[in-house]
Amino acid sequence: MRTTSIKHKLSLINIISIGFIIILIGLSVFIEEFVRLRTELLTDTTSQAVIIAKNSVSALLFGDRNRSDETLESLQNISDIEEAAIYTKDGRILGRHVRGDIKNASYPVDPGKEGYTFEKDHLAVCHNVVLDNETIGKVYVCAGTARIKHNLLKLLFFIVTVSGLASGAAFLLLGKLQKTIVDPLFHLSNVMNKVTEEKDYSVRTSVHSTDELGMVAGGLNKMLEQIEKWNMELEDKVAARTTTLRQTNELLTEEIAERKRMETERDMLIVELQEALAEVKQLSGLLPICSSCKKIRDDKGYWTQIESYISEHSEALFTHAICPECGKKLYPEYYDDIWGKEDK
Amino acid sequence: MKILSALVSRPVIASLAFCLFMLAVPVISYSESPQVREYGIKAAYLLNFAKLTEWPSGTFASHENAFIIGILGNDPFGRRLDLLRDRTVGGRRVVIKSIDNISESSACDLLFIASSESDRLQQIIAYVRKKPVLTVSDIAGFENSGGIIAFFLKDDHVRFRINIDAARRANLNISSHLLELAEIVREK
Repeated sequence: MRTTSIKHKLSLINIISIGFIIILIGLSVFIEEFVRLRTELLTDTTSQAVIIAKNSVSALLFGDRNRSDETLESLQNISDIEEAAIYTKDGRILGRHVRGDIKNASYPVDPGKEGYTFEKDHLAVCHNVVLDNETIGKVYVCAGTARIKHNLLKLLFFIVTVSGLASGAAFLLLGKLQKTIVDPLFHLSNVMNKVTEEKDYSVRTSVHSTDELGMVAGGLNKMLEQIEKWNMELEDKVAARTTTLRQTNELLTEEIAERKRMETERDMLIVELQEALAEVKQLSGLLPICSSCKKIRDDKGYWTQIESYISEHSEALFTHAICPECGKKLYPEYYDDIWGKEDK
Repeated sequence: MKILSALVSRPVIASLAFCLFMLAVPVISYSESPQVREYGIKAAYLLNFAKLTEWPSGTFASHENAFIIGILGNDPFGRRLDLLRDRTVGGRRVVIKSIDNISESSACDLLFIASSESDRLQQIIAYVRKKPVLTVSDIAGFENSGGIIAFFLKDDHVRFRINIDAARRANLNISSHLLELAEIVREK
């Protein structure tokens, strides 16, 4: 039962309720009709017995067979009555009536006490003929129940036919009405499936009724809306955070590059400095120089000219010229030509 | 004893019984002669007439618990009337009275006038006229003389005629059950 679908459950409910109602109505109609027909037969037969009893007073008092036959003749037109008899006080049959189609009439020897008995296929009624507080005879009337059976059979057939038609019609109608519940439910469950399986929160139900299903659908739509909104907000937040992080990352990368660059520069500087320092060391210390010719003795003990020594141990290069003093001394003939002009 | 018992053997007893029976047959048939049977029926009818007739209120003031059937003249019923003695009419016990004097007849509820009284019938009728007395007789032409119920024989059956004008005059209400079996006579 738990695993069957709503559609089948509703169909089952329909079948059970329609069947129950139809059986109940059919049964009550049948029983009512049965009781009514039985009561009617009993009333009719009893009243016939009472009338016969009233009319058979003189026949019984005077033992008049013709009269009693005449009295019973009135039963000829009542088709239900199969047999009837008038009994005298001492149990003799004074008059009798048998319906034409009854072959072997069976009058009881003693019709018994006043009253009625329903037997298998007939109703026997006995009524006392009373005059002056004295029972002067009895009337026995026996009615067949064939008509009742026939009518009940007809009714049964009618009930079965009408029930069949009614349940068919009800089933069709309920099936149509059922669709108004089942279809929206299917739609809702499809939407739910889509949401849970595809994680697609943009779908919406299209149920727009004001009943409970409509309320459920509306609720589902609102929930989906909310979820979608939250989802979008979350995505925005993630994006914003990602941007921030990327920017930070870029900054850091840049910083690192800068640092590396600075480090290289520093290293180069150190090398340069070291080289410079090495050069500086070459020219440092005590240099033995000739006080006359100004030659410098190198580490190997050779005397070299100052300009070649410095050129060797530094970056400096020399260009050769003659200062005026030395020119005067060395080249007095050309002095005036070269340096005199310069003095002027 | 043995001889006696041998004599009175079973066939003997049977034949004796048969002889006795044969002797009795004429006696029985005599007792059921048409004459006697007729009056047996008439006696029963008297009671039926009484049961199917309504007397005016106040009739039984003088004899509340009795229904008096008077037999005027020579009683033709004999012991047949004994059948009626224990019976009741409207809850009253039936009392049978033999009457000779006409003046006594007005005390009766039902008066049977025997055929011996045919000579003074007019006198009797005149006396009980307009009194609540149901007069019954088997005198021929009784119904035409102002009597109420007259017996007659038809095909060996006891029948009766009812003079309903006489009954009305006596203020008696005769049931339709009785009327439907009677030949109705009206005074012109």
